[in-house]
Amino acid sequence: MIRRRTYIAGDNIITSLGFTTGENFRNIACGITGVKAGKYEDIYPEEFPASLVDSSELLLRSRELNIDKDYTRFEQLIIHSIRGALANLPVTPSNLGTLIILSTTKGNVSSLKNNKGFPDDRIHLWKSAQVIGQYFNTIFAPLVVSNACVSGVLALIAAHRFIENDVFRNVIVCGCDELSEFIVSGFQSFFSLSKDVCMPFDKDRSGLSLGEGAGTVVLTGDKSICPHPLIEVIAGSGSNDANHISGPSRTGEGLYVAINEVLNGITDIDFISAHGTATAYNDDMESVAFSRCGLNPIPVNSYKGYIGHTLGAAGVIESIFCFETMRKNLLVKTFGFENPGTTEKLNVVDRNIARVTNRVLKTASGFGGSNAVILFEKSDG
Amino acid sequence: MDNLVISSYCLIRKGIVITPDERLEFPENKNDGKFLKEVFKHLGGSYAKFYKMDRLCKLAYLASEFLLASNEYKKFRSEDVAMVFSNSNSSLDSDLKHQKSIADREFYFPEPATFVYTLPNIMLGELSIRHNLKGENMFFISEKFNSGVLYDFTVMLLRNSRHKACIAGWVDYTNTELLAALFFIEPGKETTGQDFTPKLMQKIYNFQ
Repeated sequence: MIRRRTYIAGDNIITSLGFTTGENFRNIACGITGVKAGKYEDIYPEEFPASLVDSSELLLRSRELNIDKDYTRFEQLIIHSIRGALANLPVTPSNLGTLIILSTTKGNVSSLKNNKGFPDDRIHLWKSAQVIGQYFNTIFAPLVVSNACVSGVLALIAAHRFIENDVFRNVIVCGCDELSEFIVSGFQSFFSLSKDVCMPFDKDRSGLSLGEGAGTVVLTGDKSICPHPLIEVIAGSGSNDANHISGPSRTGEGLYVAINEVLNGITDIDFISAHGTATAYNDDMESVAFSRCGLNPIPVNSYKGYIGHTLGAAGVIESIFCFETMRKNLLVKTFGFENPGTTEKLNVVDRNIARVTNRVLKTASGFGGSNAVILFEKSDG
Repeated sequence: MDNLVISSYCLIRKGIVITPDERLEFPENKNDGKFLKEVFKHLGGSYAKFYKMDRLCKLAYLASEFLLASNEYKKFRSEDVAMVFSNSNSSLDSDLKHQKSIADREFYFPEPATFVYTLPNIMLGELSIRHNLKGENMFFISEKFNSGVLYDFTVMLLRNSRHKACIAGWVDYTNTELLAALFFIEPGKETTGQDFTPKLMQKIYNFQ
């Protein structure tokens, strides 16, 4: 049976730090965070730190494309991100061999409060997918993955499987979530938000920072359309802790199982991009799981201090940061980390490090006890 | 690899539970909450976590109990049983409840016990805990039951990963609609189940 290999053809990131992958990565490489404390009246009654996409810039860009009236803010982010990732690529969304996968937790949930004149069915994730499919003239309605904070990594794993099995030639994965009062009030009720910018893996960490944004990765079985160096998806896997619905397992069971399957004996990985939400439990759990896998010496970081936790977009955006790390051979420091403070000792990246980076592991863990892991490798092709 | 078969299934519609071995009717209930509770009682009603769940998870839990009661799923390692689920309305019922709690800023009472259920894959967490399943989880959202996507993804998963078996299906709940259709898929022969096909899933889903 044919097992095709899967490569990265293009990508895009939209966050508080910019509208392209380059802009975002330049900012984080310069130690700039997009998480800012403020009183965001529409989103929460009290001041809190968050990473928000510049709405006036978004509106200007949407007017240029004439998508400012017929698409919600959430859908506009998706359209801009997919267009950005496809720029200059010979991949056509309307082609029979191309699938779009949307990764999101809450989509247009802000419309429960105010639907801004859009029809009621826009609350459904499949409806957003339909609308996006129509915009890009796709043959199949985009597939929607909604599996909490691991949605993004799972969507990339799904894309890898579709290409590996030659079901689709190209898969466009877009992860997107918009911050809303719905989400912020929920996390506040858990007392899981940090008062300041979050501090992943730090001994004084006190919770997560929320963010919003979109990230798109174009995956393909066609090596000839990919930029160099080539980045390939080697393997992906998921596992459930079977322990608790809103907290991670203390033994890191699910993450341990998923990492072991993905590595399958591989020991020389150069870097781990962890979930690193900066809640006490999550970061401890990750340290235990990495330690059980013998990965403590591997440099590990969290990008959450730069753009917050972008929920359904996180796995996609952070994977793209991994691609940039491989392209530029630059490990980016963990913003907010100063003093170690996890159950097991980790090699947390605490300053930018120029180092040849060929193999990167991306992990994610989330509500429902879910974990997902994916391995990327760079080569000269 | 052997052929993949559907070795058991459970369909729950309003007032009805259908498995390969039985058809149960709960005719008097017009109220969904009462219906779910009666089915729970029929099963012996001993799993205390049931009462904490939202209705979507209750429905998934009940379907899984029927599905796994007659199934030797424990012969597989816990990390080798995957779950590939889908629905149309995500967690809308709990979403509306959470939204109600934050609608009035003078009377603001968001609760973690509600918020945690505002994700559709929480049902996968609940079932993982109940049945000690540590396999991969996937949750798709589609307008209607899409047996093709579930079929394709399950076959790829069983072909290209550690997983040896998979619970696939659909669990959807709103205040007007209620439907669960779960399938246990594993390698097997004619004697252990019917060939796993999208058509068979659709046929079972359509049982009335």
